[in-house]
Amino acid sequence: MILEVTSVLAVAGFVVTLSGVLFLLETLIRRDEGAGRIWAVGFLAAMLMTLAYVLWTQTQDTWWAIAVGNGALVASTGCMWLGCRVFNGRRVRAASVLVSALALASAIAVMAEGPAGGDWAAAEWMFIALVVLAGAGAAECLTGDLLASRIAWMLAFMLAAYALYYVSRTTAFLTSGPDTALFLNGFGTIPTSFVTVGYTIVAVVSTSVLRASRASVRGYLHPTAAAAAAAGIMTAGEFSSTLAGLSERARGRSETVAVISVRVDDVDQISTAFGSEAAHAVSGAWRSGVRRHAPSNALVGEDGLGGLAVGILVGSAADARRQAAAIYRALFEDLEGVGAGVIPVIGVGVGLSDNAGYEPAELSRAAREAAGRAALSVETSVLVAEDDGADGVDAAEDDGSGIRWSGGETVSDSAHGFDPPRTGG
Amino acid sequence: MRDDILDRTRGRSATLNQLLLASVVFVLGALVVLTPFGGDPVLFFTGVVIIFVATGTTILIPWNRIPYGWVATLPAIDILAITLMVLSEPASAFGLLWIFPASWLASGFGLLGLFAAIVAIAGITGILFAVGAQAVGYAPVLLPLVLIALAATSYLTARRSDAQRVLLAKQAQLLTAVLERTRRQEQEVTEVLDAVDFGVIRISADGSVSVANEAHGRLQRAVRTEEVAEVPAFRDDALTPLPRDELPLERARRGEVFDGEIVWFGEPDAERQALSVTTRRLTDSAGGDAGAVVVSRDVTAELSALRGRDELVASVSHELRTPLTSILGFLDLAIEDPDLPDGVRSNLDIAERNAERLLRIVGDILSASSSSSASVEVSLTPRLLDAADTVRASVEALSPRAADRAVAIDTSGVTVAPVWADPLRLRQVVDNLLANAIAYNQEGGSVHLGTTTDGTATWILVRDTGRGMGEDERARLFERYYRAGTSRASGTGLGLAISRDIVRAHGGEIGVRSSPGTGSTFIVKLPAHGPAEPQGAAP
Repeated sequence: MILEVTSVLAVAGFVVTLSGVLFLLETLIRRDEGAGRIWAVGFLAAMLMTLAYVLWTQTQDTWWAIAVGNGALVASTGCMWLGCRVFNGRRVRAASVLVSALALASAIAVMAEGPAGGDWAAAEWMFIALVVLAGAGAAECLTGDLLASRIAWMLAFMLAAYALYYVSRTTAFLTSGPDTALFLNGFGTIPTSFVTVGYTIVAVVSTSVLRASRASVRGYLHPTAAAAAAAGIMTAGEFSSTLAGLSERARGRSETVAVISVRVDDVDQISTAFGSEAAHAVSGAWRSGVRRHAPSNALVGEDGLGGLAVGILVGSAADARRQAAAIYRALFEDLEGVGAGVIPVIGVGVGLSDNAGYEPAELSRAAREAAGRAALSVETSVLVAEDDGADGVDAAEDDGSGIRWSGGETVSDSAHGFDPPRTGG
Repeated sequence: MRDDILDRTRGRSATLNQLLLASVVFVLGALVVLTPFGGDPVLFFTGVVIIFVATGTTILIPWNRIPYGWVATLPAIDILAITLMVLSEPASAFGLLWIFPASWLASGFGLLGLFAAIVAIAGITGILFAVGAQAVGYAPVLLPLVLIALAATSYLTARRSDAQRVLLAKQAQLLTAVLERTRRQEQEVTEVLDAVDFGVIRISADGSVSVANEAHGRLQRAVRTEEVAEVPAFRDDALTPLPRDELPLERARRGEVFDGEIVWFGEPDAERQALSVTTRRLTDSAGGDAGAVVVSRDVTAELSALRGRDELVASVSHELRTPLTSILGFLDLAIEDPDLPDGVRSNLDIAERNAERLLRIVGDILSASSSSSASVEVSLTPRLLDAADTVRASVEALSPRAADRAVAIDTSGVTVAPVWADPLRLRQVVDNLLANAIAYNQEGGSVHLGTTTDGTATWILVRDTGRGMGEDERARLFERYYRAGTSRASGTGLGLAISRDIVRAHGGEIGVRSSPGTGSTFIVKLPAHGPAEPQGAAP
C-alpha cells in the first residue's frame, strides 16, 4: 500500500485538531480545576503543533515553524505527564518548570541552527525530551489513583509505546541519519503520523473518561456514586427497590408509608441567567438540604432530573404533611443562604399509601404529581396527593382537583361535606 | 458564598472569551497555512502563538484566587497579538479580530474597560495609519469606528444586564422576606388550625376542598362507625331527616352563606352528634368569588344540657302543679265557708291569689319548656275576633296594678281591628306586654295602647315611658329565662318568650323598638283573616 505523505499528514492533523476541540469544549462544560485543565492545555499545544507543521510542509522558508511545532509537541506531551501528576495529587511545580524548559529548549535548539538546519534541525533534542516526558507519563499512570483506574492503564500503555517508538526513532536518527531508508520507512513522517493518531485517540478517550470520573458537569451536581453515597442519597434504582421492601413490610403491619417528592425545576434557567456556578450552588443546597432535613432514618433517592424522593413511615397523613412542611421550610432557608441571587420554585408533594396504595411506583408518581401542582399552587406550599376517587363516590363531582393539605383521610370523601367517611382506605 | 460564585463565573467567562478568540484564530491560521498568504508569515504566526500561549495560560490560571483586574491583561495581550497579525498583512481584515478583546474589555471592566478599548484601538489604528502600514481608503477609518461602536454597545449591554442583575437580587431579597413572612404565617395558621377544636374547611372557588384541619377529621370520626357507610343527618329539631343536598357543606359549595346552622348526625336512638356550622364567603382582590370557609363546632353537649334543663324544669313544674291545684281547691272551699271570720277570709284571699299566681308561673314554665312553639301550636283554636276588645279587657284587668304605680293607660289609639287568633292566647300576650309596660315603667309614667289593621294584617302596639333598653338587652329579650335588669327579682323571664311563641304560632311576629331612657314599643303583628279566606295569611 502506497500512502501519500500529504494525505496522511492531513488526516493526522485533522484527528489531532478534532480531538483537541472536543477536549476543550468538554473543559468548558465541566467543573474541573485540576488535571483536566492541564490536559486541555496539552491538546491546545497539539493543535498549535499541527498548525505549525502544516505551515512548514506547505511553504518554503518557514524553518521557524519547526521550532514552534517541536516546542508545542514537547509541551503537549509534557502536559500529559503533568496532568497525570495532578490527577495523582502530586506537586507539579518542579515538573512544570522541567516541561517548560524542555519545550523551550526544543524550540531554541531549532532557532539556534537557523534556516540552515533543514527539515530535521535539532530533532534529536525534541526526541529525547519526548522520550523522557512520555516515559515519565507512563510511569505516573501506574501509580496512585491512576493505577486504580483501568482506563489509565490504556494511557500508560500508549505513553510507554510512544516513548519506546521515540527511543527507536532517536536511535535510528542518531545511528543511520534521517535520509536513510531505515529511518524513512520505519520512523519517517508516515509511521510517525500513525503513531500520533493512535496516541491522540487513546489520550483523548482516556483523559476524558478520567476527568469525567472526577469532575461533574456544570450546573447540575452530577452524583458520582461515591459522592452520592457520602451525601446519603440513593440512585433511583436503589431507592425504588428499598422503597418496595419498606412498602411490603409496612403493608403487612398496616403502617402508613409516605413518599415526599421535592422538585426544583429552574436550575437550567438559573444556569443560563446567572452562570453555572450559581446553578450548581442552588442544586447543591437543594440536595444536601433534602437529605439533612428529612428524618434521619428516611430513605432519600434520586427521582429523575430535578427531583428527589424521601420515603418514610408516618403515623398519619398529618404527620407526613408536617414532615414535608419541615423539609420545605428548612430547604427554603438553605436556599436563601446560598446567595445565588434567585430562589428557585420548589414543589413539595406527598404520596400516601392510604391513598395511593403500597405500590412504590404509584406512591412516587402520586408524590411527583402533587409536587408539580404544589409548585404552581398559591393555596399551600405542600400538597398531599388526593385519593383518585377509589371509593367511586361522586368521582365526577370530585374530579381529583380536590387537592388537600391536611385533615387525614376524611377529606377525600368531602363531596358529601359533613358526611362521615367510608371505612378503610 | 455569592462572591465565590461570582469569582468562579468570572474565571469561566475569561476562559470562554479566550477560547472563542483562539478558535477563530486557529481557523484563520489553518486558512493562512493552506492558502497562499501574501503577508509576513513570521509576524502572523507570532501573533497566533501568543494567542495560543495566552489561551493556555487562561486555562491554567486559577482566576478566583487572584484579583479580578488581572483578567484585563488577557484582552490587552490579545490586542497586541492581533496588532502583529494586522501588521503581517495590512490589507487583510484581521483587524476585525479586535472585536473580541474590545467587547470583552468594555463589557467586563466597566467604563474603564471601555475607555481602555477605545484608546487602544484608536491609538493602534492611528499609529498604523501614520506609519503608512494601513491600506488607503475608508477601511482605516471605518474599522476603528465600528469597533468603538461595538465596544460601546457591549458596555451598555453589560451595564444594563448588571443593573438588571442587581435589581433582580434586590427583588429576590424582597421576595425572600415576603416568602419568609408568608411561610411563618402559614405555619402559624396551620398549627392554630390543627390545635383548635372546631373544624375548619376551606372550599376553593370551584367547590373543591383545599384545606381541612385535624379537628374536622376528629369531628367526622366521632360519629363514624365501622358498619354504617353513611350516617343520617337531621335538622335542628333532631327529628326531621336532612336530604343530602341540604347538608351545610353542599350548601356552602353552592355559594350559600349561613350562620350557626345546627345539624344532628346519627340515628335518634344511637349516639348522636350536633354540629353548628357557619359559612363565610371569601373574595379575591378583584372582588370575585374565591371560595368559602366553613367552620363547624361540636354543640352536642350544649344542646343536650339545654334539653336536660328543659326536661328538669318541665318535670318539676309538672310535679308542683298537682299539689297546687289541690291547695287551690281547698282554699276555695275554705273561703266559701260562711262561718269564716272576716280577718281569716281576707288572709285566705291573699293566700289564694298568690297560689293562683304560683300556678300561673308553673303553667308558663311548663308551656315554655315542654317544649317550644310546637306545643303552643297544638293548643291553638283561632277564630275571628276584634283586637280592640281583647286590649280593652286586658286594660280593665290590669288597671289596679297601674293605679298602684300611678301609671296612666292611654287607650285612645285602640280602634276596631279584626284579628284571626285564639282569644285566650291573644289575651295572654296582651296581658304580658301590658304587665311589662307597667312593671318596667317609671312612677307616674304612661302606657299607650293602639290597634290598627290594613285588612290583611293587624297590629297591636304597646308603648311605655320606661327606662328603655340597649342593643344587647334587646337582642336577648325574647330568650327564655332572660330578665331585663337585675333590680326586679320577680318574674320567670319566660313571658316574652312565650308571647313570641304564641304570636309565631299564629303566623305573626312580635318586635320591639327601644333605646335607653326613651321607653320601649312592642308591636305584635297578626293575620287579620283566617286561612279559608283568599288573602288570609297562613297561621
